[in-house]
Amino acid sequence: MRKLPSYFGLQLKRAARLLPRMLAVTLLLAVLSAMSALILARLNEDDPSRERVRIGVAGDSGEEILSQALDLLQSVDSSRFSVGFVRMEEAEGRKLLEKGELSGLVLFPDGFAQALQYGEHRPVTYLTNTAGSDVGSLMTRELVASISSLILETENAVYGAQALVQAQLPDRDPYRAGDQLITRYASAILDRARLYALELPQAGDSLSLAASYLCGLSLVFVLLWSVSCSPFFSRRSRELGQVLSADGLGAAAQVFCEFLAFFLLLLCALAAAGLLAFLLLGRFGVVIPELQRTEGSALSLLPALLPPALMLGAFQFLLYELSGSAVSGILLQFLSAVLQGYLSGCFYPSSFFPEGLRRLGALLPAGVGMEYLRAALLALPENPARVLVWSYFLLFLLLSLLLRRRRNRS
Amino acid sequence: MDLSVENIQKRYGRNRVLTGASFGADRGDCAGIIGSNGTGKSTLLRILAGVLRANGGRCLWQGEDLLRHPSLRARTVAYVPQGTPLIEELSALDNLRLWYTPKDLERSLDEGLLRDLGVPDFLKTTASRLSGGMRKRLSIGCALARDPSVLLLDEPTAALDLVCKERILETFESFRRSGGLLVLVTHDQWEMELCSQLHLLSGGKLSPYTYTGDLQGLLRDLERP
Repeated sequence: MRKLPSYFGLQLKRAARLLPRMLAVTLLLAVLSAMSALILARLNEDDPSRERVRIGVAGDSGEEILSQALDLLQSVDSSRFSVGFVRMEEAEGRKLLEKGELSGLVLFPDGFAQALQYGEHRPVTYLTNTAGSDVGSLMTRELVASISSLILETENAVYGAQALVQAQLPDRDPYRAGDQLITRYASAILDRARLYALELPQAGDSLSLAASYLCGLSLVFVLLWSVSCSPFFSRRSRELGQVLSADGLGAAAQVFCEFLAFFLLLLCALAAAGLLAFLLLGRFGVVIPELQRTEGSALSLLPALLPPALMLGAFQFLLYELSGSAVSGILLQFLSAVLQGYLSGCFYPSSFFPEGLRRLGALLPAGVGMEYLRAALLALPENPARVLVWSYFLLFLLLSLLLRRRRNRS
Repeated sequence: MDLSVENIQKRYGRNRVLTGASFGADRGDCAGIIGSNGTGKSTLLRILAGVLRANGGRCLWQGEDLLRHPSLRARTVAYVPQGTPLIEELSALDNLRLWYTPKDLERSLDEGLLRDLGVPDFLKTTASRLSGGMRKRLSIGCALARDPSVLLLDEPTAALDLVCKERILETFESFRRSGGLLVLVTHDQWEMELCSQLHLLSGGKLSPYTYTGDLQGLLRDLERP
């Protein structure tokens, strides 16, 4: 048994030797990623068509008032920052909608403005390319119906009020009174700032967006760290494993020593990244409500990150055991990191995905890690992912052990 | 016979590599195993080293079956594979520390086999920066840590320069003189000349062979099915 501590000590020593190089590679990758993101953001900033939702407006060609109303909306209303209305023919609009170059197309029936002046309702058609029975489509339909009835009822009220003024107050100008009514109504009811208040209450088991991204990015860091760790794995000698095995230090002891050294490397990297995150979040004043509630900082996420990091580390170790060469190992790690990060909701909240993908993502190691972190950050009394995290960890180590045993005997 | 290898069998799926390989040797002997590529020479050595499991047969060392007593085998047998069983990022000294106790390491470096192998010359050098000869000498040095009675070597001097080869063969001679038993798989004429007995592996079985220095004759024998 003297060989076990010696082997572990030597694995630690080689890990310590490789650590600066790995940290440098990770830092370089992070800087490159940040620069790419910055350049992309700058490019999009200069192109107004990329930053706004484009909505086509077609129909009621005889009415100039519609164009004027749109111009007014685009120059005055705050929606101009996020929505761009473009006047076009219906056929052209449909074509652009099919190509995905428009987010929606509003079709006004002929004589719409004229009819509106007489209190007549001619329904406006809103075409979108996101048909379906999901929540988004249902809400769009509901919103279109609400706006339609809001406009109609408003017009009815205005014309009714004009008729009332004409009948009851013959000395007053009914049109002037109507205009005053419209102005008051618009400022009182259609003032966007007062029309509604959006509140996102923390429903018992969901994370805030900031916390969700903090968890996601932490796991992505763990996932991508394995790519930088390739020197630790790629230069292992198969013959050494065989000779050690023949000498009594079997596959289990070898896997244990190497994994522990690898995990300690990961811990060092996590501590460095946690410190950096702590400084950056403080510098930019980003508040994580879940951490604020427990009076913790980004660093206090580290203990909660340990079990998922242990599980993901075991998974990465398994992938390196599976791969035959350095190149295939790096590719496998990178693909696994990107795929898992994407499907498990580390880049986008997983609620953006269809049900099937969401279920698959939740079963992947990163998905289980996300679930574990969510429960830990919310300080739920029972962490439903705990059993899965430890089961995966043991399974991955066991598979690594079997592969090592097979490799030692090959 | 101190070492008696009896009827070793090994198959990979349906492929029967060894069908009953047997030979015997005493302390101070050097048993060479020759044969064409793919006949199972390295497989036999790995079985004797405990890396692979045999499907049948025995390997007796002074009456005890080494295949059934791993701890005895680990004490008795050392194995030097074809590749280098080293930790590449660490120095030669660190690699030796895996196998030697501090006391034994100091002694061997000062007056033992490690000194004979010339290991002190490159003790502080990282393994990945060592030449092929140095790596091989270091591998042999690591294998000799437990002062084994039997040293199994898989083509120990393949692709090495003459000076290095000479140094390694001298070490083997010294090991033999001190009562050690060498079993080596070889294709090399120098190594064959070192051997006190040769065995030709063909058709999964070993048969005694006498090398007279006739290379053409050896080639014919190797090609014979």
